[in-house]
Amino acid sequence: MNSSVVEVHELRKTYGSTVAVDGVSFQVEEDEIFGIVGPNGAGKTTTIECLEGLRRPDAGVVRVLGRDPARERRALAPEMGVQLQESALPDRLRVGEAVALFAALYPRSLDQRELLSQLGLAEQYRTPFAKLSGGQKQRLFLALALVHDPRVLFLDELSTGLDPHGRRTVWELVRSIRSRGKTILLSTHLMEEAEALCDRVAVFHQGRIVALDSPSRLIARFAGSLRVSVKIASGSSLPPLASLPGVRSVQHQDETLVVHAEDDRAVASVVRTLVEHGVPLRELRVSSGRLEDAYLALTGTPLTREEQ
Amino acid sequence: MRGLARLVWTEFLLQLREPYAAFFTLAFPPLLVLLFGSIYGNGPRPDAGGLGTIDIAVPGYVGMVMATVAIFNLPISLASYRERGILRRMAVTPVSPVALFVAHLVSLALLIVCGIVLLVMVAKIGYHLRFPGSLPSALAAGILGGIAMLAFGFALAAVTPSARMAQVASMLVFYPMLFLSGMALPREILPERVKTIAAVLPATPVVTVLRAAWENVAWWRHEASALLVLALWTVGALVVAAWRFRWE
Repeated sequence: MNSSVVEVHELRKTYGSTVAVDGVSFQVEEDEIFGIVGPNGAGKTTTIECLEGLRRPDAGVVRVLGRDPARERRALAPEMGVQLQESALPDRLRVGEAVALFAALYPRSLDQRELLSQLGLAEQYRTPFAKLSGGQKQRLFLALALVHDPRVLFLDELSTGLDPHGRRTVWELVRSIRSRGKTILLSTHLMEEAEALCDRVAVFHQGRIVALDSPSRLIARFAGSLRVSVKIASGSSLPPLASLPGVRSVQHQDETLVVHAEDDRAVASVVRTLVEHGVPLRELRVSSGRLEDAYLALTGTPLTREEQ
Repeated sequence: MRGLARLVWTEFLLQLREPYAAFFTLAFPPLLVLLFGSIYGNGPRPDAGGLGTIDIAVPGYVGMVMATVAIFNLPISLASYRERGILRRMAVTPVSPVALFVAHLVSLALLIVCGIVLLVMVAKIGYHLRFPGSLPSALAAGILGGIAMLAFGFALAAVTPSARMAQVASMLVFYPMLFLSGMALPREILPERVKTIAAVLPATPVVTVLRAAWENVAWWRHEASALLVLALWTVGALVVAAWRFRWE
């Protein structure tokens, strides 16, 4: 337990009568990318803010590098890189000035120009904060979280405001940060993001952790490792598939039938049953199970488009 | 230390980039000197003990520079920092809130000094500004006045909930004082009854003391009532600020 970079034990935090975090425990090990997923109000940000020392837990123990962040925030600050969920800088502060300022606040810092060019902000060196696009702002906040070369990174809603391309750039960057021996704790709405980046994922639901494991094991356990989808005509009658051995779940959305299966044998029997019942196999697709499906099975609530 | 210096410098640059405040702090006072200088010149006036129009006006403009920075820059920037989560972001750096606040005040003081230096330079070069007072007395008056004005601005920041409200409140308190406290216009031209009202405004004793120091009057002895008003405002403002100011 002492070797963990982040330790959370039975954390509880309430705001008035609302319970934001209701007895959460987990540990993050060195060099790990640990993800917290869940919808708004699941307690993700509250948990991260307790780790950053911005909030005091009502109960439970929170440790970062063996220290209490609420009481030793300033001592821990040089070791922690933080990207807040909602943050801003003065409108007229320029990118280069922001990074120079934050670098000066810490005992050590990385090469600022190099960091900015890694993040694709080299050309924005003299651009004021207000003139940056959403993605550029997000990358600047990442630069500010990284500039003092911290040991632990807390990234709350990592890719908010980024387009798919920008998201992939940031993912690459997060991977390269980890390869330099950093520990990363991130929260996200995007199951795709958690699946692509995280070694382990904690699924938050109504202030509790409902599952914690590697993405592939979560998928295998809660969704089935394979996913069969077929386009079917509306109103066509379907054979009973749910009772086939190895079939985890059957969903019928609009004109798409989605079956989650445990293994190849189960996929084969699904396809065979469909063919035997004369269901045409239009756009039949077999793919790996997705974390999103596991998440759905775990929480019963799909993330709305807006949240994604 | 390196961090604090960088913080002060960055804040200073940001204040310079606020067009409204920068104009009133840096450009407006020298423009007034040039305007009134071109109309009246700065020849010795018998009614002013041998001082000219510009000599009399400059201490008022010094007060104007202080009031602009304290009433516009301070509350508006603090409110917007608070509103936009900038203070929260700074809270996860090694900088303490006190250091942050001190850096902010130092940057504002720097801006005031720049405004005064520009003003005095233009008046000196353009109209051979006379300064009959003593430097220690003028510096003491300036520091006292500056503290009073910044305390007032701080109280304003504490009682205004948003940046937008701060902006409105700043205008509401600034403009009456600009004309009534002897900053833009000499108070001598005001009617007697208005003068009485003006005497209790926070900027009025600041200008009174500055002018007295400029004209070589021992203000600590002869301006007791102004000093009393000044002290009451400063203490009152600091109490309100300490009581109501919130970082978040």
